[in-house]
Amino acid sequence: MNNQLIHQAIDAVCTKLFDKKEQVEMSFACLLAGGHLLIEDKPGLGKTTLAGAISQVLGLTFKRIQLTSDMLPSDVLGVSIFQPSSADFKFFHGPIFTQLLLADELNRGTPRTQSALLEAMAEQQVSIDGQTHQLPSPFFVIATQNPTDDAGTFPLPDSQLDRFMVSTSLGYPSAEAEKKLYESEFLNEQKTNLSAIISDQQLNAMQKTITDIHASQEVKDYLHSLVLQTRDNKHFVNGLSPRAGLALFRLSQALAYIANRDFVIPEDVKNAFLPVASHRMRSLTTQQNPVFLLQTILDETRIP
Amino acid sequence: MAKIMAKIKPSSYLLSSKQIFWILLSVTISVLPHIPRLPLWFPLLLIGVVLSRWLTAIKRSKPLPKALIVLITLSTFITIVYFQGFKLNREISVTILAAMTVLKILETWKKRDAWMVVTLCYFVILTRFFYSQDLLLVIYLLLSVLVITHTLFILQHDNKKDFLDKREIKQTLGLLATGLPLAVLFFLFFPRLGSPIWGSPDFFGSGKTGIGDSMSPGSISQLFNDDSTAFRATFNGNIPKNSDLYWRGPVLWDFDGKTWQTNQIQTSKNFSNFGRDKGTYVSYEVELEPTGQKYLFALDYVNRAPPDSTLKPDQQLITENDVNQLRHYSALSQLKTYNSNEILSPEDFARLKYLPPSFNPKTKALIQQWKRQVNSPLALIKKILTLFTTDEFYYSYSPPLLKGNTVDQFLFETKSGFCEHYASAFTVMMRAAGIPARVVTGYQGGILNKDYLLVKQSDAHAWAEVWIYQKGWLRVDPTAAVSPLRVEKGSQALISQNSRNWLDTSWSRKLGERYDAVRHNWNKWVRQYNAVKQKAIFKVIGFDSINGRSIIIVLGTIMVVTTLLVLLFLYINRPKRTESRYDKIYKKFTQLFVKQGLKIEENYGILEFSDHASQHFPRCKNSIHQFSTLYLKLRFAKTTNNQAKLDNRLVKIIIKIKKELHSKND
Repeated sequence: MNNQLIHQAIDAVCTKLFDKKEQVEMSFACLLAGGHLLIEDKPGLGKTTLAGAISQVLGLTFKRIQLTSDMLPSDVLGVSIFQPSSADFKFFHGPIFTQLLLADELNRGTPRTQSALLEAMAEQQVSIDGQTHQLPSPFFVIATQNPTDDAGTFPLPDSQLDRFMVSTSLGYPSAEAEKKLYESEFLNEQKTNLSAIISDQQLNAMQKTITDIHASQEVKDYLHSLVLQTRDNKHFVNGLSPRAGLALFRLSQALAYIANRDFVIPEDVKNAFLPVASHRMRSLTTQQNPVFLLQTILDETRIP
Repeated sequence: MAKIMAKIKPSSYLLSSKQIFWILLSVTISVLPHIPRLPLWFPLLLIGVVLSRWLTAIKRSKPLPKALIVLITLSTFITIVYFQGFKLNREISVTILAAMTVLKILETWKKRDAWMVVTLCYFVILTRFFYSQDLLLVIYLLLSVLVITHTLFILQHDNKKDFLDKREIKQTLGLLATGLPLAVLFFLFFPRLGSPIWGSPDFFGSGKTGIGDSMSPGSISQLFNDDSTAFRATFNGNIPKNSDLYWRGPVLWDFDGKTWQTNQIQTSKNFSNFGRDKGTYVSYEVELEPTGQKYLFALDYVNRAPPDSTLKPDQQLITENDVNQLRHYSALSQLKTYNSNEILSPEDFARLKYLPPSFNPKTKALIQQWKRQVNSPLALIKKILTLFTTDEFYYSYSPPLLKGNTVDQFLFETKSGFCEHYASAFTVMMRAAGIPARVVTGYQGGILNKDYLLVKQSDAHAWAEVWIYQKGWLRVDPTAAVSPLRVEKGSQALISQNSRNWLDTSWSRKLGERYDAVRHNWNKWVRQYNAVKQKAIFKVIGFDSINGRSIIIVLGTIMVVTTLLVLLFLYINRPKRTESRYDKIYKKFTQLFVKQGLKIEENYGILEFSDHASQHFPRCKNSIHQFSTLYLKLRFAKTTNNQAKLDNRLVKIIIKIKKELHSKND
């Protein structure tokens, strides 16, 4: 197993984002599991840096869109424009035609734009004016979202949140890490681009390996009991969908891969549970934080 | 996120508002049935304490200062002692128990206090049995036991946020249901005392109406509206026809013009003439509801007085003590209209002819006139009864009020009355003719309810007895002349003809009768279960007497069998998880560190645990790592060929860790 590569990549990204190894690993695990990543955080905490660094080490084409309330779907997908020279329409590709897309502040976009983007994420293709345009492969979206209680935002509907495999948040850096930011040599280093470490083929191969990672019956039982408990718990509006369950399984496999194992252990599932479940669940009452409720489920389920 | 994920568990010993809600409910529900007999300030104390504790719970405000609590407690205690006196009796004990339970709420902050209060509630509700063991109270008690037990449950498992969670209630019900068979067995086999240690429950209904030792116009007709049970009778054999069912109660001798009274000093002799007169015999058992009086009711005429009672010369059954709790007695009666069981003394003879001189002149005049027309007392009786039948006399349960010369008024003006009017008028007329006569009160009839005769207060009746020379007492029921239906079919027949109020429907009466049947069974099977019946049960299972040995054997067997059943149940329902050998090995591994004083969270995965252990025991870091890697591989990876060999290695690593741990300790 050449997971040496993935660790090199993770370490490389960590040179740009100190002190956030956990989140970086989770982001890579998400990409390896073939899912899209949602980062929920306040502005200025390094979301763009993370997305950029990932695209560099993976040698992927990278584009970034900043969603605003006056953005139209065509601003994301592209537009057909009449060409007088050839008396024909020519399709101009929008920013979505890239391997890694950073959709910044997704919840600032109008629902129309959001859904255009999220449709593309699900189908891996864009249909405009009767023509279908294939999106490049691999195709990842890293979306960031401001906490929804900020003014001027359109919260994503549950169905679209479900398209993101993992949600994570970076949080403030530690004191040392933050002070390091102020130093000049770091600034220069920050500007230099990382070299690509993993190629497209290698990434595809890794993704293939991950789906083959073994999970014993005991681990599957544990995973399923966690999913079931989200459905039985009456403090939640809804439980985890089978798609979410599968995402939990894939992410656990990816975490096992990163940990250099060819089998999943219960702790992989335990670590994957909150990132997969927290953005998908909503509690019935506003007082109760879904994350807290999910943590309770984790605490109360016997880990094999 | 990290902040949120940090475990926020409430300190385990503090009470949540849900727990406090249930504690307050338990205390309230257990004190509530005592309220009517507790001092008047008690409800105020209860409301004040419960409200103040509830407000502190939901507003998280500060508790009352300790000094104030002490002050309240002391003043409560002093108030009780001041008003009820410093005696060690049942009333004061119950009052203090209830008051202290309520006050304990004020200092219930920790679980330990909560358990104490809730356990006290069981006692408080139990003390209510000192006063009554009625079915309604038992139903209430079962309900409160459910609430109190549920509170105990909530104190242990405060998981769900809802105050009333169906699943939690179900679990409590399950708990109680599990205890039920044991409770039944203890009820059957725990040694029973001949009489309750706390004395007899008080008759607790001074406002209750019933037949008393005096009668004036209106005193029986007001009972006509009362459908509560007077007594129940179970006959050995056929139930006699309604017109034979004269349940004899107080016999009234003395008339002051308005009110009839019993004769407390009878000088006549009781002469058992039982069986010499004509009449069929009936034997029956009576279950008399508490009356607060000394009278027992039996069919005319009873053979012998049941135990603990005497038969007075006027054939009236009297007990030694007031009937303050349900009373059972069996009796043998002979149904007849004549009774020659009494040898009248001259004093009594005079007394039975006495009328207040100046009252009812018109009646007296009429009788004097009639006396000249007839030649025998029987003929006079017939003439009077014919008057009631032929003249415009009405039978009415809401007759006009009478004042002054009540009999005159009744006979010549209103001509409308209930049984007591007719019995009274008839007796006065007899006495006016110089014939000894008296009024008998009691019940007439009853309705067949399931397998017993239900006699309600509305069956209350009054009739007359006339002394016939050389024959004895003749029962004359003037009501039968006016309203044959009342005597032949019973008061229920009258009631069903014209309902007494809007609530009075055949449906509501049926419901009341059904309920009475349930109460009858409750009395029969539970309340009447006494030492004698227990002895019979012991006999069935092979013990001739109830002594220390037999009790220990029976109770011991019950305990052992119950314990075995519980163990069997636990074994069958043991947690269904495959405790594989890896679980055992892992347990061994963790125990190594726990023994060294490492504290672990319940739900650590092995990697978390290993990190934790490595931090505390750095010297074992490598071995721990070796163990966890191998363990995870063996347990969760695809199985390999040399599994057994690897298993051994796992055990070896454990031994290695053990050595490493101890090497430093030496």
